[in-house]
Amino acid sequence: MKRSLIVIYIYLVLSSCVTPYDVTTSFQPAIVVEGMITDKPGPYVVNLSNTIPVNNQLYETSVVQGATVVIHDDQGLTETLVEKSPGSYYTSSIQGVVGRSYYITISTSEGNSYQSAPEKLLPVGDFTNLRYEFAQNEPGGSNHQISSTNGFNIFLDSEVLPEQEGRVWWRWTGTFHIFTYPSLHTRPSDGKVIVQLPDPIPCSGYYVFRGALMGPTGRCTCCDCWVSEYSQIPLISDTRFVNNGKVTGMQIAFVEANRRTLYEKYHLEVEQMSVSQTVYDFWKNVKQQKSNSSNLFQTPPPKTKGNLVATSEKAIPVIGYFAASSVKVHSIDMTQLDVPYPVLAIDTLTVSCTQAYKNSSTIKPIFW
Amino acid sequence: MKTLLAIFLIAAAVSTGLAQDVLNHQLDGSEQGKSLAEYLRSIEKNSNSKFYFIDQWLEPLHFEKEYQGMTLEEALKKILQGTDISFTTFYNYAVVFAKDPNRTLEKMRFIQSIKTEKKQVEAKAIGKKENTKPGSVVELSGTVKDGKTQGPLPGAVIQVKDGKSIISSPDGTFKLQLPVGEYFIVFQYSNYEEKIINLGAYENGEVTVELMETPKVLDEVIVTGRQGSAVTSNVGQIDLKMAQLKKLPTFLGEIDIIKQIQVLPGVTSVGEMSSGFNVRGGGVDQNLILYDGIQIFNNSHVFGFFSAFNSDAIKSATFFKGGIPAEYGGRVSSVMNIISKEGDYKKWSASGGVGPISSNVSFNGPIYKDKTSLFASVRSSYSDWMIKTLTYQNINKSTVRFYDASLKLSHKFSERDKLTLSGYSSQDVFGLPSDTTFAWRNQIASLQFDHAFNEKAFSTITLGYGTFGYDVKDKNPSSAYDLKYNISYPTLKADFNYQLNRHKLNTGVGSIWYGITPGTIAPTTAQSNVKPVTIAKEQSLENSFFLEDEFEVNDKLRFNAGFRLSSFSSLGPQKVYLYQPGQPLSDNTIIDSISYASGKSAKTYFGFEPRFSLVYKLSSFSSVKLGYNRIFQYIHLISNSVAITPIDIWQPSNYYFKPQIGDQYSAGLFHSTHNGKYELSVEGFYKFTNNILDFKDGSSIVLNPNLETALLSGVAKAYGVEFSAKKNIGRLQGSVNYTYARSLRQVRSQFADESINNGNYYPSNYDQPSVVNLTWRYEISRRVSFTGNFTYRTGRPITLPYSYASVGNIPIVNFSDRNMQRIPDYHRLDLALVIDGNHRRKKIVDGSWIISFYNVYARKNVYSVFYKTDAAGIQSPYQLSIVGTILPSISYRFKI
Repeated sequence: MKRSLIVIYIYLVLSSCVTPYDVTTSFQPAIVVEGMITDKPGPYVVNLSNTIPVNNQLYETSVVQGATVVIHDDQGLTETLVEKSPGSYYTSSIQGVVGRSYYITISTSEGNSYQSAPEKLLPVGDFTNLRYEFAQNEPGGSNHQISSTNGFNIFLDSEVLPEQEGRVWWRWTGTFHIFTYPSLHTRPSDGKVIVQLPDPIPCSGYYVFRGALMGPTGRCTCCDCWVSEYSQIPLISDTRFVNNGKVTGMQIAFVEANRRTLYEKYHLEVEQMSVSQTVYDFWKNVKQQKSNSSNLFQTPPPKTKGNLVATSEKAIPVIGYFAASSVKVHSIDMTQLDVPYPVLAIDTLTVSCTQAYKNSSTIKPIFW
Repeated sequence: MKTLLAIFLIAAAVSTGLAQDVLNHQLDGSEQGKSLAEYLRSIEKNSNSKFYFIDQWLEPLHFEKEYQGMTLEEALKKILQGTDISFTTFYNYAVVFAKDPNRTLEKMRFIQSIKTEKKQVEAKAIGKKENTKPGSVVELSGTVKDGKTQGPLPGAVIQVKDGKSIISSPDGTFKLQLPVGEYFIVFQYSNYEEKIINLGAYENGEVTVELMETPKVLDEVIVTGRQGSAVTSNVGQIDLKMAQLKKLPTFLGEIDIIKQIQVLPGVTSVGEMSSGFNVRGGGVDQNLILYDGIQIFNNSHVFGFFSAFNSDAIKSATFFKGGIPAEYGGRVSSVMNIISKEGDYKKWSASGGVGPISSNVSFNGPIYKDKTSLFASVRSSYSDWMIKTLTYQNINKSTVRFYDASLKLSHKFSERDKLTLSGYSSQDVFGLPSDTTFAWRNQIASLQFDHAFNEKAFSTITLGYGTFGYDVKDKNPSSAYDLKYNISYPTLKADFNYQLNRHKLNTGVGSIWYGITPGTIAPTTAQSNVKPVTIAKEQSLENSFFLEDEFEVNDKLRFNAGFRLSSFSSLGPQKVYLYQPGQPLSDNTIIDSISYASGKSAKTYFGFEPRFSLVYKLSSFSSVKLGYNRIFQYIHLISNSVAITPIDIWQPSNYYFKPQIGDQYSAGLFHSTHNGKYELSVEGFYKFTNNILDFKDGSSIVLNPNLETALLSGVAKAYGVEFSAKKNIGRLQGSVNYTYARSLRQVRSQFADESINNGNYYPSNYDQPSVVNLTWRYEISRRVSFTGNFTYRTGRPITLPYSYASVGNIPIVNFSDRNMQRIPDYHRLDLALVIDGNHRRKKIVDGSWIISFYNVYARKNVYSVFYKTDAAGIQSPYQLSIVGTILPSISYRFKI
């Protein structure tokens, strides 16, 4: 009796609670700009979107259509971009030249106008020794074949040119092939005794006739997918660790090793880019925002404004960046042979492959 | 109205001479030894003048030989000086004596109140009534002492009824000059029983008054005529009533001196998890807390849930929020001076308390009777044991432990020399189920030597050593580390007090050495991914000199003027990084560094700090007060949270960080009515502080070797007005105060990166414009009282996200400008029932129970809003409510 009272008591003491904080009222819209010009041939893209209210659980991005986006350089050249898909504006002929400066102007259909700071396209050093090291954090048994903390740490050694002033920006895109079985999709029956009934997803080419699975009537259009993964935190150099123009042993990614990511192979493409101080600071703030969270004693969150400003009165605020960068690209592949234990064959996912993962496409990449 | 004629007799008489002639009558020596009445009657016979008086008024007044040669008028004025009798002439022949009834009435009221409240009055006589020289002034000198320990009680209020009131000097002594006569003198001291002495002051002499500590552990000192203290104390000065504190509702049964400070007008806190407090819009680091003269850095247990001071071990606590005397320096906003209890010199006793979270016990008594005494107290938690009994989730893997202990050993070499050794230690261990443990401690030791040269000169030399540090350990093999931080601060100071007539001079010198080990992190297992980092040690020296004079110009006007000279040097060995000129300071713009050899000053700052405060009594019930102070603060708290947490960095001023310079102007009006039953006050202030530090957006401060790149320097201004009303007497007592104050900051630079909110003024983290505090105590019966308090504060400012965006597949949050939003208002009601033991003076154990309910209507007050990265990689805001429910507790306190 006494003990249970104490227990209740302690429960009360520790019932300091953490609940979601309602910020509905603080919503203020802003326009989001994201674009760059590089020293590689175009076309380049500038994406325009709107910010989302914080408590919008759907995270549906609404794009900004019908805007006029113009790239300018310091020689007086301009090119108006064309909106080829909603919110995405493409260049047609312009190509970035090292040493020149570029900026964009944007006018939205509502009459708001914005401009980026001029960005000088700086040269970039190359990187070598792109490599992976397998890190085993848990046993490689069958429990850890779909989701695992085991995987590859990806490292590289960079050369940093003096013009870069220690600033490097890396991005990576990982791609892996998955195979799913949408034809084996089932649904529970109605009635007292629940059984699983065949319910193939139409794109599998199968159908149900009188309760039986029939087909195929054609090729499965949603069984083979290539899933793209992107860096989730901005990768920028820490200028303190640039020694004699070199960054060595920079870890830029962790690739999870499981029966899906290594079904065929995992392809990782890494870009090393030059970056201006303003865009570098933008990413630095985003990075700090990421690392700062999940801590009760956080410093004031950094603002992530970027290098654009509104140029018309009463324009809604703008965040984001327009960068001018030189780019060096290298890639690396990882397979099941790089894992010190047997990786099982891919599991039977009974959904369409485009639904299985975010950023999943049935179009085979050109490098595959 | 001032002078009423009590009795007026008109006698018909033939007038040939003039009254003025009588008054010009030269005294020839024949009057010597005669009583005034007798002599006047004899003159009356020989002249045509008439004297009107009542015999008993003039009865005590006699002529001495020194009146020879004076006119009668001069002699009368001299004899009647200091009495309440005056005289006037009427119709050229009559001299009428009148008595001011005000004093009599007040005296009668006072005697009446003594009777109704059944107060004890002690009768004392200094000198012999027969030897009285009428009309002369006698000088009384005396000491106010603790009746048990025989220790002096400085700052005791000595109030002469129908006269002035004074305060005992730091060695407990006082001097009073009174016209010969009988007086009621009230002696008051916080937590001590009031003593009323019916004093016959007939000749110069000495009087020693012993006050007894309030015998009932939980009783409040019922102080009548408290206007004596509130009306005459300096602007911004508050003496905390320890006994009153013990009667207030508690948080989990823990009596907390810091929580009492948090309900004073002008003081706010950001929530439960903050033992720190904000005084008049200042930061939590701007409060100087002295424990027996040595500063304390950590004033809380368990991240601020409980204060780190055991209230049973505290003898007195004085709090200054404005008009800070020159004696104190180093923190811009406030001073809390805690003096620990001294042991009893006569007999042993013990007291203690048992609460749901911790228990405490203290012992005190003589080691050598009347020579050496000891006071020892210890408080320790046992919550860890309770947590271990829990099976709910991972809670039983948590650890919460704390203790604090104090020791005071005093030895009297003579009546004039005393040596005191004082020690204080507090320690906390807080462990999370995730294998992370936080341990922090604050320890001080001091040796104090008091010497009284004579009744007028008194000196104190204090040698102390303090250390504050914390240690964060992670035992998880892949991330195991040990993060350490430490400050040690040896302190030496010497004060000298001298009383010269109406002047009280106080002067002193002091030095504090700060040795800071800002942080070391080291991996503790082979697999750990933590990179070892050591930030270079820092050392600095603070020196000070002060001189102040408290000058009692007359009974109405008193002022305290002084100044403090301070210097602060940041000393080598150290390396200072130099940054590219014309660029914001950042890791990228370091161009060079300078190394300073050991003991070499990298930067020295000097401060001149004038101080002034004034009290002008409009009447014996009301006063006007003014204060000004300038203070240099050389050590800054770099806290990434709004409250003091143990994981904070104290950063001394150095090459880049200039000292904070605070100027505060304050003014107040005080009034008490019904003989101190009600007290009303209003105080206003304006404060401007230079060189405050604030964060650059998103900067990282933990183990940052170049902190100057993470912090920005700016200015702070705060202003406000505090209203307070109190009822001090009766079954229902209480206070209500309302404060309106703003606390704003401005950080402006030529670089956008080094400005906050585009260089505009923005509210500080603790800008809470409206604050209401209501505290009451209702005596249901002599043994049972019902107490409570209610607090309301405007929600404090925070930075909130306006929206989300996705840039380059990376979700980002678009935040508002700094502190542009506010969390919901904070309000809370606490209630408690206090049941005292019986009131017999002689009993073995004097115990009492406190049943307390914290947060009665279970409001989920938001403590902070923070961000957690959700599955989509977005930082979602969450609110943390520290106490989201009603918290009952019961505790028992005793005294043997």
